[in-house]
Amino acid sequence: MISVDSVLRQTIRQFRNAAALRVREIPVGSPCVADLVRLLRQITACLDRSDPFHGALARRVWSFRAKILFTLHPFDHAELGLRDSLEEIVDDASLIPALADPVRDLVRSTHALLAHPINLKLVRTRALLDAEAHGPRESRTGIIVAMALGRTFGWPVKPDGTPDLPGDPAIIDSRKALASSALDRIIVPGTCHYLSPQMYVDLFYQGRAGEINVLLYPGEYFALRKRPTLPNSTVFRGRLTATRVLCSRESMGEPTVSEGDTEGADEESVWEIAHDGHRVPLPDHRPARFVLFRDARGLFVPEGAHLLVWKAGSTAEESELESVPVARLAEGDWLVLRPSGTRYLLDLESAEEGFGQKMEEACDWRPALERLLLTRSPEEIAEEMRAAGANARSLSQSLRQWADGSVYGPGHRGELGALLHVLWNHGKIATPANMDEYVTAHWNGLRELRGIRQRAAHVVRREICSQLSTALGLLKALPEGGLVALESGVRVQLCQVAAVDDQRAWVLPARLMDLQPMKGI
Amino acid sequence: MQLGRPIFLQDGDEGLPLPDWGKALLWLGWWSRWHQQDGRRILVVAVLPVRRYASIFVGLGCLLAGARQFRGGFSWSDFQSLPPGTEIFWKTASYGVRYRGIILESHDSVPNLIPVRITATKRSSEVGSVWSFSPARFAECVFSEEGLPADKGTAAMENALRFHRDLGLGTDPRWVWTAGAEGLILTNQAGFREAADGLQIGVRTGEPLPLSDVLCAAGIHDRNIAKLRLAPASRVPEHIDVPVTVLDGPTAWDQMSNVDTGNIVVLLERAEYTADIENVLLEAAGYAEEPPADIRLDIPGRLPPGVEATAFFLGEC
Repeated sequence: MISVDSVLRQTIRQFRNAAALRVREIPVGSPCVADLVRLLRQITACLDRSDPFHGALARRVWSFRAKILFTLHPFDHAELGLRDSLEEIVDDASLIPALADPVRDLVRSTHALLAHPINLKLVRTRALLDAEAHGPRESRTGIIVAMALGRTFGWPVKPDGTPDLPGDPAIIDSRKALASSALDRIIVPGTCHYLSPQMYVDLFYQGRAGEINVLLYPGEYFALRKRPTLPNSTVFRGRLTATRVLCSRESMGEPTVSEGDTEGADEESVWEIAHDGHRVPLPDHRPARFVLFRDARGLFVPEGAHLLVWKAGSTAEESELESVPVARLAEGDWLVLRPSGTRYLLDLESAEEGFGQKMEEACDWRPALERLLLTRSPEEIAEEMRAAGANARSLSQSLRQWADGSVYGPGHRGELGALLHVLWNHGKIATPANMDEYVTAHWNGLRELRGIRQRAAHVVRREICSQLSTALGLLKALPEGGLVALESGVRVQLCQVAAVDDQRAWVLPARLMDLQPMKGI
Repeated sequence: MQLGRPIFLQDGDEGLPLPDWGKALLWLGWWSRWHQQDGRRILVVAVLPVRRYASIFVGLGCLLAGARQFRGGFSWSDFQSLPPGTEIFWKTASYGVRYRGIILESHDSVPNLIPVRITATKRSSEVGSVWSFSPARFAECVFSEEGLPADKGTAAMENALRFHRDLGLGTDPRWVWTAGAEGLILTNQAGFREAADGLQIGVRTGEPLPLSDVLCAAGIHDRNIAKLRLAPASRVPEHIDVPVTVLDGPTAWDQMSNVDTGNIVVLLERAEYTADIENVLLEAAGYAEEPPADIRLDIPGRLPPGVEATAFFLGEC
């Protein structure tokens, strides 16, 4: 007989599952949770998100709600910290008079929930797993726990770290975990509204399981998101078979609060909670993708940029460093960030090509610029440079950087020519025999400097990659905080990706690659 | 595409018929290879739940179509037309000894005698010597513009021909020994080989054969003859001219603009089919031309569930 796990069998099953997936919506009646969801929505509706204080409160409310809806812990579990979250909301809301009544009701309802902390989604999950464990055929179930932006909300765990649930279900906390499990059924403990788009497509359209059970409290809803479909062509017209996803709603006879689909009406896009990038192009802003990490920090990566990713395999041989475009980062990937202490290596490598001497020769105009900046403002010098033919936009800012050496010099020959011309006009440099040759010589010098630095950076990067690859291959587990020290003294920060925003955001250049705590949670 | 007998896959101890999605992908490869149009190309995009095995079946389809369309082979007149200095490979039919050599200038007085200097062979005493080929001697050897495989590779090529025979295709045996690949696959080569190595393929009544033999695939830098060429997904090799290029996955998709000639088959998983790719395809749809009637004649009435595909008939510019 063919092994159940043969790769071909798995592939055949994936095609079969994807061709006709069954989704069961399972209502979980809980008047107490329904009341809380209603009150939280009422509070959110009163907030003006354009106001930073209101916005921060809205995010606290969202986080509180997510904990209640997505956890598989009892509600009084310490890991959830519902009491602390409630206190924070009450403190903030006390400054907004309009919230007095709903917040008072929220406190009352939360206390009622904590007085009877049985989590009915946990009860229902156990029942589903029990039925399967005692069922006629062997099958395997997975539970999605990365319910919002890769964030998990807890599940019962035995002392040995395995899930304290019947039948040893697979815990799915990333796309990678989803892809590596051969499953018959997947339980999703809540609305799929906050799943990352990639996880969503994997879950519902890639045939990972034959049946998906979505557990929904009153006020939560499930709707199958559309995915992009291939454009029609005159060649294959009328010959495609549409993928069927059969959605059924289970009727348990349990009380369900009939509330409209107000989740979408919140207009609180999950990524709006996570970051503050703009969705439309703005002047001086750059297109970027927001990458959220498991430690609730995130950064904007320039659109189209490639990032160094540590692909951890099950053995050292299977693990490797890979350059991946930002749009193709996956949940669970380890991103290599922020090598610190590389400047010294860069200087060392550059020195071998006589960088210091060449720098002095190519930038011998720098002291003259410093002197001129003592008597003229950068804006005035910039104006004179424009009159001399320079046409860069932010010359005044660049002038400071050229003077302090943080940038070697102008990036265009015309700008350098204009700068030298202005310096000569003000008598800060001696009159050259031939101005054009003088500019050309300095321009060539600058180009050579940049070339040396680029070559050095390439060598250093290659060396760091090699050392990092060796270091990671030897590590059994990544150290706390993801900081890895290399032989050369360089320290490299690794961050595990929780989710990637699949829509572009526009941000100021200064925000690019700037690792910051997530805006919301 | 009419196959005389249904294909079976051998996975472990049990044979199972080629799944419908496998047949559809085999057909896509066959169709893309079959319809070659001067100055035009077909762009096919298939979106699947999983890409594993997809490039294998598309590649196999290319092979079957290429073998069917094969006419001739490396003939005496082809040999005569090669300029001096060209590298050539041959082996003797009787002893199977493989040679590599360089064509030399022939004497005007004996135009039907082509001199070749041997540059490599396992018989070291023969290296450096010059053989002169007449039409009769040419016919005694198997010639190719690509390296001929050793015994193991030869057995694999024979297996490929045997598969064609089992299918009732009547492929000309010279096809497999003639230089030139039917397709180029930009893919994760390790994944491709791993998937192929685990399977055997055949017809119900015949003995299953290793799928890796039947695919006659080799890397782009392998000098030996191969009917499918594999290259990393990140780069289209230069100086290769194939009727079909298979772009397996999103990294390979990024290389589409570097594919200069031939038809293109793109294979993507559903999660890999992004709005950006959709936009490119919508643009392609905008300037696609009406395809000639003959390429629509042999399209199956319905693609199987799970397989989604679209195709555009485009000018090469």
